[in-house]
Amino acid sequence: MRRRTMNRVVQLLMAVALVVTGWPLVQPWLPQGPLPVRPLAADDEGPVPGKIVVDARDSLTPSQLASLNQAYGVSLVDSGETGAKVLVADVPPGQEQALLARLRKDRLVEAADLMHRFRAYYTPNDPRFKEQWNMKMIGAEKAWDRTRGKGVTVAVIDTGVAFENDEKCYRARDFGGTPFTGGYDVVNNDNHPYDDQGHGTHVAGTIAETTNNSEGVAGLAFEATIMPIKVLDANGSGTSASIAKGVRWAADHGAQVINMSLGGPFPDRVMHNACKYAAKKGVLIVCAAGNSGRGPVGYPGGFPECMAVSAVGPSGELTPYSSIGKEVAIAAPGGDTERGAKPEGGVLQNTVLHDGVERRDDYFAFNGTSMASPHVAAAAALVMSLGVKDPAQVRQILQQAAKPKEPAKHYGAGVLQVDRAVQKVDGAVRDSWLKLLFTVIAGLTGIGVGAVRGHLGALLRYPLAPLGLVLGFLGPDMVLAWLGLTSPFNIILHSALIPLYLLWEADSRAVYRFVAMTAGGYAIHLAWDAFSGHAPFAGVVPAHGLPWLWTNVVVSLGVGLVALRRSFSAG
Amino acid sequence: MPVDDETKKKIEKFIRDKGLNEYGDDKGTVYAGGTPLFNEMTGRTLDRYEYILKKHPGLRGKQG
Repeated sequence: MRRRTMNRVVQLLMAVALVVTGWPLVQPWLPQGPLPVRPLAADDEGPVPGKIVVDARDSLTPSQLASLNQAYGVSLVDSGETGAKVLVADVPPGQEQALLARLRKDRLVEAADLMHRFRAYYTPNDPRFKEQWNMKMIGAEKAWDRTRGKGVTVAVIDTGVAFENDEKCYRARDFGGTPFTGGYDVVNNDNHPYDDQGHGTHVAGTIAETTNNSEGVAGLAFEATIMPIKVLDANGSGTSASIAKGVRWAADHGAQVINMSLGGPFPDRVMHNACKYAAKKGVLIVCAAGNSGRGPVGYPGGFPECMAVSAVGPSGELTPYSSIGKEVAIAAPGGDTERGAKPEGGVLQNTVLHDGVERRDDYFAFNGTSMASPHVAAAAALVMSLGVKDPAQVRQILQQAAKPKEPAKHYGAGVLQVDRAVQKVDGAVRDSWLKLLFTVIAGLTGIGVGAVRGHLGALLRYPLAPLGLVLGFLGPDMVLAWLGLTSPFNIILHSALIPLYLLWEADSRAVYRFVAMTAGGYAIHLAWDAFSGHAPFAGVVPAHGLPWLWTNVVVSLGVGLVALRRSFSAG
Repeated sequence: MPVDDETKKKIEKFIRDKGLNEYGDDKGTVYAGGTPLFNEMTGRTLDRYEYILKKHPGLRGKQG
């Protein structure tokens, strides 16, 4: 009786321990706000009850159609407009599948299925949106069905933005509905960062130009808030000291993303320290790789705290002007008016150009990595608006969602795909819940089996063994959450080196069992990462990381088997 | 007008002696787009030596 009570207490304690240790691990993966449940394929609204669609042979005659209707007791209707025999019929709701199964076996039927209702993706009514090849290339419309960046502040550190209307400033025509928050003019040391050059407004337009207002073109994260910061003068140049001031100001005033479509060849320490400061405050810094047409990437883009963006043209190939190098994190549309059809090959946005005499408030197709960078900054805002706030995680999601393209020094992880990025956020949340569920079910099953077979005594004799399994499965992510996704230690944490080292040091039955379970946990953890296509830490391109992951899975399993064998033979 | 070799050497020495960046500007200078040579409005690229000579015309050699 006493022993039975003891067993139950142990079972309860282990179940509580599993839930308690597992719960905090889920937090880094969870969005900070409520996430609405929506279908991943936003275009498919699901089957229409009581409707089926039949693709009959094109040679179907009216008499054959009549015989089909008679045989199946339906009224298949042929629209007859295209020549293709696509027939639609009403059937009693609930009988669709049975009827479809019979229809699919008929020699006159090529295919039969439920009728699905589709709707068009969100398409803004901006008249020149059709000229924005860049938005189509990255899947903007599909992403807009899910989010438009609301609630995220993006600092545009540049020549300023034409966003105010007063005697000194002028607001560009397609920025009337763009949300702005107070900015700073580092060049003139005031709170009116007016764009007297035109570059910064164009960049801000790619991020959040007013959209669906029947005017001009669209911005990618058009519900995000722009924080304009002027660090470059009317000639488009500035100093590293100004950049550093601007970056710190943005970080101190609530920017979540910083876009810097600027750079220079010199890795200035003051500028680097400012980037480190902003990164530590949880700001994602996105920078243009540079327009040198060769390597290396300029600075600040070349700093490890920044995401350097190279540029592709309408063909999806690297542009001749884009800087390249190992620091390139991702590629995005930057335009190519030289090789593309002029001027349609450029990135079209609204800006205000000044020629000294008059200002021209119009839509201009620019090209450069300056134009590529804000696509990524806006994509980051879209991801952040879904609740992922950790910049390293946002970076990882953008890189994993990118369309892979080689070589990495040209394209980084590949070409930006915002639709896949927002879908990945949903996937990451689902994955975290599955991991927690797996841990709880595995733990409870182990305890249950032990209780039924009367082996709970063994659990008590070797309490470290189940702990090893949990540590192996969840431990790497626990430490990763503490170190951050970009820490180089993650490559050791997520490798079979740890169970291998433990095996080396093991010297007793209890420790061998612990090692065997830890190695098993590692193998499951790494296989999970491999199957879900998630590189376990930032900086690893999934395509490159998969062979490494599988090698570690195999080594972990080997370590586990050896340790298990030794546990039986050890005294 | 193409820049002659003598002028190019003169420019490189000037940059080295003055501790300037490769565009002949102060080392800490930062540019829209990362370089002053590429015009993002037109997609055209300027020659580096021509850019430097515009800012420092005194560096042009006798033939240039």
